[in-house]
Amino acid sequence: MLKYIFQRLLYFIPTLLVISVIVFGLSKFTPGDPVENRLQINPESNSNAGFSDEMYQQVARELGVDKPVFYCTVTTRAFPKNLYSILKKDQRTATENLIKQYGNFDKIHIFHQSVKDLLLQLADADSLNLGNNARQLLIQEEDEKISFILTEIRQSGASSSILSRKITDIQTKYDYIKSDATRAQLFLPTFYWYGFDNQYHHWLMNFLKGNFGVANNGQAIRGKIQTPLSITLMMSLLAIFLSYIIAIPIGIYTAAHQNTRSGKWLMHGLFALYSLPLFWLALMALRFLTTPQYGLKIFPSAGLSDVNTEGSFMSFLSVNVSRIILPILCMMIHPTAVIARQLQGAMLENLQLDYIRTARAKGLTWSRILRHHAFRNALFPLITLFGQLLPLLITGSFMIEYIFNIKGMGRIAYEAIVEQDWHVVYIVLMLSAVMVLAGNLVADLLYKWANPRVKL
Amino acid sequence: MNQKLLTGALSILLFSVISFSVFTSCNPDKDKRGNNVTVRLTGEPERLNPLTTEDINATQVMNLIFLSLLDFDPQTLELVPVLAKSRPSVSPIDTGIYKGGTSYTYEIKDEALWDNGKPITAADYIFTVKAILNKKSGANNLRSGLDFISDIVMDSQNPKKFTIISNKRYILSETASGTLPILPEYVYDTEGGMKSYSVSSLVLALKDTTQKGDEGLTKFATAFQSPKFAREKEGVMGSGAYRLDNWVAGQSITVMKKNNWWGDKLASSNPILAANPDQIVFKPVKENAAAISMVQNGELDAITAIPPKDFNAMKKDEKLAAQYVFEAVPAMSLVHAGFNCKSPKLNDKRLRRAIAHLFDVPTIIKVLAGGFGEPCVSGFLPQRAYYNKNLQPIALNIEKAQSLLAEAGWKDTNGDSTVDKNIGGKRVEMNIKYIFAASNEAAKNMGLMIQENGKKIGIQFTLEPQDGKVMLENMKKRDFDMFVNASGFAPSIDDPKEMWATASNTPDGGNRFQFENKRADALIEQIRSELTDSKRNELYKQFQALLYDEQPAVFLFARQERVALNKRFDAAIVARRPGFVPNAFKLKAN
Repeated sequence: MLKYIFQRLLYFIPTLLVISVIVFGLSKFTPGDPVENRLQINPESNSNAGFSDEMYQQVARELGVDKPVFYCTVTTRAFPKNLYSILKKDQRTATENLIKQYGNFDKIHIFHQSVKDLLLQLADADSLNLGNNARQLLIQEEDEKISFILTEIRQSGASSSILSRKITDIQTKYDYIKSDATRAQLFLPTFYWYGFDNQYHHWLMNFLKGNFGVANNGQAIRGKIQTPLSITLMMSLLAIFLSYIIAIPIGIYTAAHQNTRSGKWLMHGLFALYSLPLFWLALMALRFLTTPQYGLKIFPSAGLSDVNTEGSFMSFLSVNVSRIILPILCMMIHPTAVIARQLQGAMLENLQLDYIRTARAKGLTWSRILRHHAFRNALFPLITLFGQLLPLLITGSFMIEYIFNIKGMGRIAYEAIVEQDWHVVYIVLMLSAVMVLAGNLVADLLYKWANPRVKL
Repeated sequence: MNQKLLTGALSILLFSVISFSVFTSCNPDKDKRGNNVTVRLTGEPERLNPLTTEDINATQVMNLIFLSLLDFDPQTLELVPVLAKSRPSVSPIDTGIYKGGTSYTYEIKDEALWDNGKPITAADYIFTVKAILNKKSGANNLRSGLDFISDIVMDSQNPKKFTIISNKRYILSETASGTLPILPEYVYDTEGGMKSYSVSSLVLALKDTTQKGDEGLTKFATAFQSPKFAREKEGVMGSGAYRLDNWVAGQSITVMKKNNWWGDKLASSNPILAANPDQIVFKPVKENAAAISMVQNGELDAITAIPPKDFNAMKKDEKLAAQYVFEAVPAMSLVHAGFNCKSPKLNDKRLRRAIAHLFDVPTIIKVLAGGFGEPCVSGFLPQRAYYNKNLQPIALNIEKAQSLLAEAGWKDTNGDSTVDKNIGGKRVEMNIKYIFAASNEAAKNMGLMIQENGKKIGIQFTLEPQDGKVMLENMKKRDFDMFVNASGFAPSIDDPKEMWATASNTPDGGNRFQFENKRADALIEQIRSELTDSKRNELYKQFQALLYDEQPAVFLFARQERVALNKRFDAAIVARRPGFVPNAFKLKAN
């Protein structure tokens, strides 16, 4: 048994690694610049758009995005090994796209250098226009746009001979990119090794150490998810537990009374509830059962109590019991229906088997047959379901938490997605991946417990 | 037996539901609430450190905990003294090393005290400024607003008096220096880590980009950004009437009125110092349905950001109308459709005006903004004293648009029902790339409107909904012809530089319109250094006329926020966001 658990835990490692690579990879492909997110640049504000390059670099270093992304990269000969050292994301993307067109990084680099040279020369206010155009050159990638800007720059007229030489220089350098294109390089594969000092390695190591990084607004993610995690854990545990408590008798009852009216009605009723969209049910419950408008103010308004319970389960429960009834009922509806239905199916299957007939022939009571013989053998689907429900502990129910104004993990994840705070989203993803794996392990162990014939 | 089990389980459940509901539905809190005010926030603040966060929800809470020398009068949005005795005496410096600059002399009120009973002094103000100037402290936005400060000199006789030396003449110097939330040095710097630094040395250190981080500064900054000063009641302390009392993550933030609040004596003349409720509870409720059900239960005393549809429905509900005042207030935000003024298709102002004539602004406000908007044609908020009222709205006028197009030389030469023009030997079709955030439903519908109108005169609009971040990247690259966006404004007077000056037309700058105009640049510089209100207002009006004429954007409307206030309080609707001042709420006699 212990050996089995140990083995399974060993299997977790590669699985988790693969998941982490995917999750981390995704984070690199999402739009937006992590540094700017951190600097909280948003399109609506006009006041803080002007951050200095120095600030950008400082934040980039803090976030560790000045390092290579992964241990190694498989790319084409056209791409240099140290492309990551171009810190500004817009400039790096433009460089990448230019390489994809022409395949000659060295020429592109020289072109960008000549633009930066020009920018260094510009100091006085007269050349503002020139500077603005030049800055655009660093982030543009389409030939049409670059040529257009180059024309503008030439036409704006340089105030000194040094400047006009620089401008001609930029034009020449750009022409070189096009005339000396080495597109063949784009078809020759190459492999670069970066070592352990890379973004993924640091991210993973920090995750394993429990250091989950920082959200866009500068708050530590660990601190941010602590309370929500405990709230979600408590609520989901309760919801899962209660679902089983209610679903098991219903499942047994409907299996035993499959052809009676009450059995049929119960099953149909559960299915009707199951087929209703959860968000609609929750909204209706909120509208009709928490306000005096329709004369049915049975429950208090959405949200938890203002009393600080500091993570203790019993005090949380005692303070919030009336406030979590509705959300938990909503959370329970789907699992209850599924569990009951699965159990009913498995029971019916078992009830037709020979050993049941034997038991009846032996003269056992019907209820004893149901509880001790059929039910025990029908446990398997319930265990499978338990394994699937466990990840809910982490992600909670997005909708329910959002609608009932409960700040749990589901809402944290939802808000992070809306605010495009990917660091938080990925941590939630990783934690739920861990939970899925743990759920599977627990389910396997329960199989063994339910049926000793199962070989682990 | 199983039947028994089932009925047993169900009855237990039913019993518990009913008993808890009976237990709760009488809502025992309701009668105990007294003069306590409950306010809805649209999201939970992450921290209450006034130097490092500008989040609107955090600001609402921090406004009660922290005070500044001056603040905006909630009604008139003019600067009024709060901790200061009066607005500063301003004098130009004509001699010495700071020649060409300005000095601002403030004196702090004698009554102003910290919680420990000690007076608020110039030293606390200077400490606050030093904390901001510390490169590592995370006060990036405030720091860039204080770049005019060269030094601060304490008065040798009066510890409550000091003079700020500004290195230039700049309209926002008074606002920026006066509205800083003052932090108590004895709480935020117990170890005296910032004592050994002077303001002028920190200013110099900011300019020095080569210097590595200073250990002392880093140490202070790390402590300053710790959770203690962001979320804990022992750390979040200011000179306001209220102190942080309780913060239940995700549920509520409660502030409590201080005992013996010194401002009580002065509150009659200054509503910012008023502290009528004993306790103010902020409830972060993101989901509107939940917030509305709380309003229906009478659990909220002040609520903003109600969706237009719900707002109108609630207003019509007699029961609610008897309980609440419903009002629309300015949201300090302007919706505009910006042009890429350098695009060959739009570099002629007649073309930009032609497109402006395709917008039907009254319909946009009525239908797309639910009626909650105020027409605005000048790029500045309509409630500003210097808003140029002489500028006429640009009405929907297809014929006018067509004639402007023809005037600018655009005709349909190839019969593809899109006008075109020969530019530099190449035929360019009038195909406008209109980008907007995919989540912005109103921008999409506006796009459909001008697309429809554009077809009539041969302008083709390609609508491109984009993810917010992608849109920002494209705006930086100027990869658009038109974009729809909203700009938020502070209550202070406007500095048009960030949005309209040629110097701001950089990838990271705020001038995304590629608007480069020498006269505008000159006017902006004049506005920024003109310290006399009347003269400056005249310049503002000239600048607006210029913007109106050049049309770098179609200015559509100023957004309005929807506010509901509980009638059990005497509470005023004000012009300053969020539209009410909770500390001034007064419980009605009955």
